Amino acid sequence: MDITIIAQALIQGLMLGAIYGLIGLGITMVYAITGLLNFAHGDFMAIAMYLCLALFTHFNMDPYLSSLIAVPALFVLGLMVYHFLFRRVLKAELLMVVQLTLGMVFIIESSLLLTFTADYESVPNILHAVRFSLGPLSVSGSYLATFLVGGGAGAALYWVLQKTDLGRQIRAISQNKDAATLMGINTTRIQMIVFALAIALLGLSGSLTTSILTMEPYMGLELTLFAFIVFVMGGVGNFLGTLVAGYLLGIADAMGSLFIGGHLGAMVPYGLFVLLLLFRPQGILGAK
Amino acid sequence: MLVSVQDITAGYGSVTVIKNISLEVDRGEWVAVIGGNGAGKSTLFRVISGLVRPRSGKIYFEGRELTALPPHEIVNKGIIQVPEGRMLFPKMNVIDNLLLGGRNRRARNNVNESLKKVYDLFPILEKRASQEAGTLSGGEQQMLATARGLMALPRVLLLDEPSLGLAPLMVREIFNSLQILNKEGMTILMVEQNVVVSLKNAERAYVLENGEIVMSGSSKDLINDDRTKQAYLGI
Repeated sequence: MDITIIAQALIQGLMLGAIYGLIGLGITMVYAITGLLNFAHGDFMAIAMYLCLALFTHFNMDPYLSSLIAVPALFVLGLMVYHFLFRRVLKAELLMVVQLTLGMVFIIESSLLLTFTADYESVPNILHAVRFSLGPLSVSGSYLATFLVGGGAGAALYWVLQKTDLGRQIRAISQNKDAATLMGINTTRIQMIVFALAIALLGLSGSLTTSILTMEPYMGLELTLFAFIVFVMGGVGNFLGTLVAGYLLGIADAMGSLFIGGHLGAMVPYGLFVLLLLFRPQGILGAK
Repeated sequence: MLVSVQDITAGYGSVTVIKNISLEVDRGEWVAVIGGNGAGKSTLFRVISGLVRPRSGKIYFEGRELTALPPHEIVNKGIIQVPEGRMLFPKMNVIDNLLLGGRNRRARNNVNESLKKVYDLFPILEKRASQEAGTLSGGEQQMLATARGLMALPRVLLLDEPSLGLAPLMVREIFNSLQILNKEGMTILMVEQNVVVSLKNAERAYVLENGEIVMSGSSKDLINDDRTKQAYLGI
């Protein structure tokens, strides 16, 4: 096996990993401050990708440019979903939350199907055909951009969580909500912002990957599944662990399709997940 | 009156925990609410801080009604609670805990001076600044909880069981610091199970039993009252 091919796959893995990390970080943040999981999480990334498709079809807009619309649009969508739906089940039975968010999955996926048909789609961006050479390696420009912007966004968000007042408020709510309230933190407001921020991250992930991932109306649930794996692998509620797990899963994904390929190759990330649960059930950085 | 609690009834679900409680705290005073486990002391504090809505009754701060405000607005007014069991953020270091204490609207521009002040009062916290709060000893945790409360620039400090689970020497140290604060003008409302410590430090006290106030008066009078002696002091 040629070392450059492995290196190539590694780069692809890092690119995928940056995106998996971003999607997972949204799940982790929402869980940290509400204790709840959103099963429709990945479907919002599908919405972002189809938004890019529509902007490309009607206005010939590059997906990278569309991200300037998709990110704020999904942030606002996130605020609305939180305010009108998610907020109402915060204190409800856990099964209510599952039902509500699974219901959202069906509504979003059916709406996408009605609007865009079941055809497989992708949207090229300005860097799609550009290749960068690093010695013997040749990297697609859109992969490199996805890795740099997606990975950069993950790192920036981690910095925000660790070093800023907003981050301290989020961590405070996740560690003791009543105590956070007694610090004068408006917990409802922070929950709403974080929920919307998690959805906005999907606006970014979606715009970055329109040329890399094939979109179809039912892709959301699979993305959610991957996000849940990243969330558990990182050590439930651990921000850094989520990012690390994202990269591990991305590399496993890329290596699996390179060395094994096909359906068997696609099983590699799940195999890694099962192995990790067997030997380190608390996750990569989770506490026992 | 700085704080005036009027006829508060509150509870959880169908259970009523406190019934028709009225009490008052004047500026600069140190007032204690004493009573055993389950008397409703913590519920009273949760109502004052807005974490629990009362069924009836009203609370006034400087003559303005607090009862309808959300908890974070009550904090912004300077009513700061140091909750029972410390409620620190265990996975954050000491400095992050303190910064969270000092982030409310009134306190945030004063953070550096407040830090200096609490480090003067509790020098051990400065040594532990980068240590996770969950790894501190019980006494250090109570100091941090109190310091976090002070960072908020309280106009009235609500202390919930400051002596709970602490060795006698540590209790003395904490109360020495509280004495200093009170002499500097800090208003303190405290709930305590430790009746001796309470009556030694506070000027006045209310006795809470089964959710109702059964006695009140100056600490001197209460300490000499036969009923208090029998029920709480074991003499």
